Amino acid sequence: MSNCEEFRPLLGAYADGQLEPIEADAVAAHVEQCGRCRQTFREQQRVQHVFDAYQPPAVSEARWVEMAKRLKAELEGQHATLKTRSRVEALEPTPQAQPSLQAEETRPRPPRAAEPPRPAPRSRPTAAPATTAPAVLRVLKVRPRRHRARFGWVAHIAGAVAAAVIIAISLHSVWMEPDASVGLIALARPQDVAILNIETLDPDYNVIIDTGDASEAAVVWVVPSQGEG
Amino acid sequence: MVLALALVAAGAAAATHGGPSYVPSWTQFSPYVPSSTSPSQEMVNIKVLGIRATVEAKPHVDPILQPIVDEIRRSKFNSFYVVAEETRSVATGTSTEIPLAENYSLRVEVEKVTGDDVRMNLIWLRLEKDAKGKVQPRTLQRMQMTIRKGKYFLTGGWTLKDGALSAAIAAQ
Repeated sequence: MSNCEEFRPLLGAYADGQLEPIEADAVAAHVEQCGRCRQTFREQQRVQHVFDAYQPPAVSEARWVEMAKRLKAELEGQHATLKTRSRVEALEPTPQAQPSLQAEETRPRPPRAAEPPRPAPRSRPTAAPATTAPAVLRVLKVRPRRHRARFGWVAHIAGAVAAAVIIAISLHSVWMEPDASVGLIALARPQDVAILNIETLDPDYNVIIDTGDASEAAVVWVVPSQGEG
Repeated sequence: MVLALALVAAGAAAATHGGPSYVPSWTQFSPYVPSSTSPSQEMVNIKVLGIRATVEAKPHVDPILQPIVDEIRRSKFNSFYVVAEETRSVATGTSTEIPLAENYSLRVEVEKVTGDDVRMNLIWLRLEKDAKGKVQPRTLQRMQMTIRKGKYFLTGGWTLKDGALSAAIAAQ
């Protein structure tokens, strides 16, 4: 039993003729003695014979040129929509397609090999081959959509705040501003005023008439007789 | 709340611009009560600022008085507040009376308008009780003058409880 466990992994390579002579002799001796391993070895040989007998259909040079043209045309026609591009990328994960897709990116990205392994997407069971599916699905612009939505809310809030500030400033300027009709006070100078007559009827006050001697403005003050003011 | 503020603002604006405002009751006995205008009368806008001057530990000047602060500071006072602000349209030959502060008011009589000059009478009044205990307006000062339109004439100095009262008057 223990010999079977040692030799069984070598049966496939033995059937392909890939073992070293020493290993091949040991496996051959075991196959002659062990019926189960001999049966397995024969199955391996039959499979190997099928592979060896297979001849791929011949493809003409014109056929290859036609396929290359179709592939190129399809790839170049996918710049419009990301969804279509991802579909092409998923359907045709060929080495030729990858460089052109990277060239379409607007910002440089680190090499894919440096990225940590990501779990396979769960919501896309129909995605294409496992080797390219995660990258393709990640390019489906799910994150940009989130960014658009988030910035959309920010823009709405910012717009509302700006509108509120503008309304508040407008209302403040309308309601709180001093009477605009008064404007800046320009005092009358001596040449602007002519005092024709003054009669002070309250004996508790004295009158001071200043028509420009003590100041640039023409003013008339009263001061209490007791000396106040 | 916005509607309430709007109503308050509208009321204040109406009062400031010649709408319904306080009119002293004694004006019904005064010979200077505004009367209806005839076609020969000319309308003049009279603007009056009532200024209360006080002495305070922290000096204050209302922003609207900043242009004339150097002139009104020629006294012992260091703080100045606008206590009344009125603009009224007065026809020549008529008068208007503007209450300012405490019992003081200022009556403005427009006599005539000659080009840019307006001749008018300024009458300072104060409410006082007479010998019978009846409150009557007492004339403190009467001043006849001619002033150029748009220029503010500064006058007053009447004693208040905590300061002095003056006024700036202009005709436009």
